[in-house]
Amino acid sequence: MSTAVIRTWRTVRSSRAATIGLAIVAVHVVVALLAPLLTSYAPTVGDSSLALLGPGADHWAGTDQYGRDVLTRVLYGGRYALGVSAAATLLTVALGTVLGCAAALRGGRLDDALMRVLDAVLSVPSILALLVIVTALGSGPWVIVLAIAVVYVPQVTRVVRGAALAVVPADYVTAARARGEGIWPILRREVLPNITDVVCVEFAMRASWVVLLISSLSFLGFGANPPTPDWGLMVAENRTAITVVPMAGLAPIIALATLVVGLNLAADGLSKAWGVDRIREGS
Amino acid sequence: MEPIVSVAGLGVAYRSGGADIPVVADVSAEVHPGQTLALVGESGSGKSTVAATLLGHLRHGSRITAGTVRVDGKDVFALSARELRRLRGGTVAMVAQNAGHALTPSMRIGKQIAEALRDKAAGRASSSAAVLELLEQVRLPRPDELARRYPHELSGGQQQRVAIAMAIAARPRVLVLDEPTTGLDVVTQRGVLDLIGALRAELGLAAVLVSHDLGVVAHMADQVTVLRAGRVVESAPTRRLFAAPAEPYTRRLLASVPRLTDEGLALVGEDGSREIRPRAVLPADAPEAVAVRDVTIDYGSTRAVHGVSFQVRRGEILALVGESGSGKSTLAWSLAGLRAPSGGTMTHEAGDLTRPSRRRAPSLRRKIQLVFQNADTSLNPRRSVGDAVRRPLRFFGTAATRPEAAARARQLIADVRLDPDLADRLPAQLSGGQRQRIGIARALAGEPDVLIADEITTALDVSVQAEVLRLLDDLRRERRLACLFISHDLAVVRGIADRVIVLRDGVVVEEGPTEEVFAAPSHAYTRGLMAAALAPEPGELSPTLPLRPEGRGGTPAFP
Repeated sequence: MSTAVIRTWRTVRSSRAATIGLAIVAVHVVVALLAPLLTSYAPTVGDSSLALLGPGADHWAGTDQYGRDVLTRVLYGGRYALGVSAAATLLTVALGTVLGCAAALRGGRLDDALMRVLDAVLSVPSILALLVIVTALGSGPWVIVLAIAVVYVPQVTRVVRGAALAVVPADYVTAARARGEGIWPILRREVLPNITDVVCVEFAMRASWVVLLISSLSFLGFGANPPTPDWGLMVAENRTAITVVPMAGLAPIIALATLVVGLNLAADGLSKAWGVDRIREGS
Repeated sequence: MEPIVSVAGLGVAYRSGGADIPVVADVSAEVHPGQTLALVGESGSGKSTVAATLLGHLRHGSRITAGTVRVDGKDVFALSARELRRLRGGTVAMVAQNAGHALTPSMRIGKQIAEALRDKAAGRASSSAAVLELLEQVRLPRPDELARRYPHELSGGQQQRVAIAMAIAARPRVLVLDEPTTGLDVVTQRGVLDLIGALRAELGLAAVLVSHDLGVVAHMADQVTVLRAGRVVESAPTRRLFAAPAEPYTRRLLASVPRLTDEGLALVGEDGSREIRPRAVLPADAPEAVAVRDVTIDYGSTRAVHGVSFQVRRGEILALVGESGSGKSTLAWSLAGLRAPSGGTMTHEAGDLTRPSRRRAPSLRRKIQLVFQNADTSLNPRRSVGDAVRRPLRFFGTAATRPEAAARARQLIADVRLDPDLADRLPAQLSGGQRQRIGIARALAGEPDVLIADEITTALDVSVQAEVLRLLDDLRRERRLACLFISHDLAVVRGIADRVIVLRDGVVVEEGPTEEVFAAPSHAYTRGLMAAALAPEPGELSPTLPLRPEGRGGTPAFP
């Protein structure tokens, strides 16, 4: 196992884009975790006498309409987006991987039926589906995680199924079948190790979409509830005052943009680095 | 006469970790117009690398370190990009090993050939006429219909013919043939070789043939250059090389090739001497391991196997012989529980074999094990080879604990004559022969009494093939394995099998003890198969029986 970790690490290091992307993501995670140590202000308590201040020595990014420190709220704001995104992406990719592999391995009617059902889900616009689910079930973080899984699992399943279909005809899978192994051990032992690259790239790419989607939901008022510090929500709250204190709206946007760029860089770099590795292994 | 191709002191190396690693060193060769040079060697000998330099092609990351390659008087590696394109389009053409991969799957055959013709033919009408003419020239039936088909609608032999048509479209003067018939069965191979021979004469082509198959080389080449690890071992006219090889390596290589006349497995000495090991004597009371009766197997509405019956006894090797599509692999997969037969019975003393493997009792499942043709894909590239052997040990419960499984796996790896320390390696770090042995070790882990060997030596070099065959022969003696040996190579079958079944379109056409079948084949199809096999002895290709008109698969040529 350790050799695999070392190999992965070397792959990541060999790609500058992946290194930078993962570093950006890591900074975001660390900042979100250590937010209380980085700022002395509380994210939800404001002083109305200090409302709508521009950037200054006390408040580096200024304050919003309730007099809350914008920088503090941006630092804390990653917690909700990152936490929910991580949970949602994990669930989506895990479900999609299992479904995709199972469809590729079993083939036949199960594959056909599953794919048609997923096609049906795919044909519903994602934000619409999300809004319907959230309106029906409320906007707790777990509902959002579930809703995102419903929206994105079909896409992950399609990608993973495609990758698994390339592995399934290989003789080592046939050998496992001839031994009479069950579908789960075949999936875990024979198929999954050979498509980890696809799954990892899918994870990184999906994460950037999920972050955006969750922030959009918050922006529309269906995600985090005020006064929770959250980037999407902050953009919504401060957009009316954008001409007065542009920083209050810009700061969460910058935070969100850097996170998404980081995730995209990581996805891009990883897929390229793994592609090169494939070629090297092949020759 | 001036040679049309001359390679002088060629060296090719690629860079890895800051050092130059030579692939080819000091290789020289010449080909005169109308002549055929064969580059012979085992995998990794650099033969394909040398052949590709004739087209000015080098694998990514490698470069010329010494020497020159001249084609038609021009130094290939001094040409500008434009001149090089003209060289590839007009003077030299290549036919690659796997035509199925060389053809664009989404383009009709006619259009692909027309594309190769683009520079030559003017106007649409004349180009489509030229396409048909080319298809006729490569002896494809009904060219006008064939031109409208897609590559996947053609058989392997037909695809190779189309690739040849594309290669000769530009009227080249030199043809580079990189393993043109590897992967085709004997009968198809024979057809493609006949075609190449005829075209060479018709068009006065010089050819460079890359091959590991000494039988093919003996019949096609005028001059043979034997390569080993990137260096020339020996270069001589074909007759002299086969009659009196000067180097021990060449002698060993020649001696490793199984022949139709061998009455047992050949043991090859260091100096290339051959000693035929007598076949194992099967005790008269050997128990029956598997009995197959009137088995039919269907793929949808097409029937692949029509009522086949046979039985294999413990310690016996039964060969299933036939061309591709004869149903021999289908039968093997069915026995292994991967495809349920649609009729008939298959029984083993431990139970019924008509059920798919998941519904068989584990004690029955492990008794019948499969070894695959392609050792490259039969092992999971992400798992160590030790893991590949340990898994069935644990799965079938033949080893109770992890340490025991590890110890047993090492023992099994030693049993297939490999160093047990290889257990920690990944498949990519092993050679083809080593991987095939691991495949056998994995099959043995279930302690089977029936081993199904599906073309296990087809993809291997001759010397490695001889070793794997000997291992298989040893194992069946030691473990009294009943072995179903599937092959299209009759020379290999002759050496190892006790009995032979010849399959054609899913029907048994001939069955009997190996000696009898080979001494007096009773069916015309068997005789045709034997005539299509090429012995490593120089000589013109004797005219063979047309086994079936190509492109009309399924129409029996014999009643």
